[in-house]
Amino acid sequence: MNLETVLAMAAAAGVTLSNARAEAALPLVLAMQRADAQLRALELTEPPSGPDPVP
Amino acid sequence: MTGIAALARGYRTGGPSPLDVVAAALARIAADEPRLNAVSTLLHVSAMAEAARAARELAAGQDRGPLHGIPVAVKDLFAVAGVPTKFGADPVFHGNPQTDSAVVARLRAVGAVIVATSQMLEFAYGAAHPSVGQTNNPHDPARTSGGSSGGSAALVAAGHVPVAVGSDTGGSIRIPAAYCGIVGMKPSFGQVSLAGALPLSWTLDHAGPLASNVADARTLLGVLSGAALPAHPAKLAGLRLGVIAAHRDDDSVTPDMRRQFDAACARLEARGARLIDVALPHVEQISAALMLILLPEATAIHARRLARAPERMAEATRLQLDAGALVPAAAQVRARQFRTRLCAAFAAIFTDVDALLSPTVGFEAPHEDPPIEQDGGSSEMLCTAPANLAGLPAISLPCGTSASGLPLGLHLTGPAGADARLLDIAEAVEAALR
Repeated sequence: MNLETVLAMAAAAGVTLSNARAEAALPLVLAMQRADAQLRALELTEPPSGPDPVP
Repeated sequence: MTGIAALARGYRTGGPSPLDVVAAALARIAADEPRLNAVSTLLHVSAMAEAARAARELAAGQDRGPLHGIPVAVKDLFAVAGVPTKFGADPVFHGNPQTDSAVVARLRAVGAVIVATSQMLEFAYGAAHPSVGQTNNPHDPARTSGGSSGGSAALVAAGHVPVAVGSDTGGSIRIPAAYCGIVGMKPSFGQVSLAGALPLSWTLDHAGPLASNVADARTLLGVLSGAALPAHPAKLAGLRLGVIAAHRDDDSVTPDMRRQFDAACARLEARGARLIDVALPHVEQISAALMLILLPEATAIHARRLARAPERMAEATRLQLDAGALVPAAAQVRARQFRTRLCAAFAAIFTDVDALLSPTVGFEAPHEDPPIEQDGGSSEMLCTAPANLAGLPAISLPCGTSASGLPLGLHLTGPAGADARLLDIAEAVEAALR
């Protein structure tokens, strides 16, 4: 992932980011990408959930 | 400050009155504020009026229970009618609520005296706003009191109020409690209403008590949740306490913390508790899942603020809000799928143990709150985040000090909905470690 990718993701999300802002966000966006890669590797099949509030 | 029970007893037996206690608390808080930076708004006038009312009512035999006339601080994201809510942020984001949050309404209903709104990290999102600054630790003002409920923790730890209210999305009650050497509890998800509180993450946020001991935390949580949590003393003999090796042995756990944790385990075992090594599946992915839920939820919550005045936010907050908009929907769904798996894993573990035991944080209070996008930020939440993700009750207790004399915390997690039982266990552990 690079700056252009972040700008493209922002555009797709309807978010306006300057080059400088996108560059600043890049490390955190990469961290989120790594986090998602960890979850992808688990091949989760469960339905998404809450937590459920206490009754 | 004296605990709730002793103050309450004094109120009813000719000891210091609510007026005496609240006046003294206000004076101490004001005098200590240059050192701590723990207060957002000090409520001199309304607090003295509430204290006078409590004194009158108690003298007339109108007793509203254990918090009647007790000074309380409330994190500055819970609406207090007529008091600006500042959220640890720039004035452009401040609110002027006309009605109380649910938490504050419950406190008022039992006659508690709200003496201050307490300082916090900006929007409870991990960074101090530069115009606000961090709240300093009463044990060493060169260090942080932790976040994001640092003001509440500092006021309790300094002895200025017996109890305070905080909120916790990844550890924001329990981490400052550990850094400041007090008790902090995040109850089960939904146990305390968040109506009238600024959210950070709808599915991770919790409100709860900070106190100098477990009994006071129990009393406050009972009020906040609207149902008393009667004590049924737990016996350590035979109690099954699970230890997650990945938490105990993590690289972030300092030798000081490990030594104090092992010493606590030894004392509990000596009193008959059974310590059982347990494996929490996918423990390494918990912080990842939490962040993939937290970031996009926070961005959705703060979208209008971000659009309106991003330059008025702390740089770290703005970066996190920018990045949250870029988390793909499929990644958020995967994180919530992971949550389902984690809840099932915890449910299985709690068939074999009564509670889980770990350090609260692996280290003493740092000089500054670690940014959450760095590895240090993730390791700060290593042992606390699982309970947020699974909605479980969890509590931090004092667990000795580091070589430099700074407090360390012991963390207990219980099954969902078993808040009263967790408090029972915590009280037994607290007594054993005292």
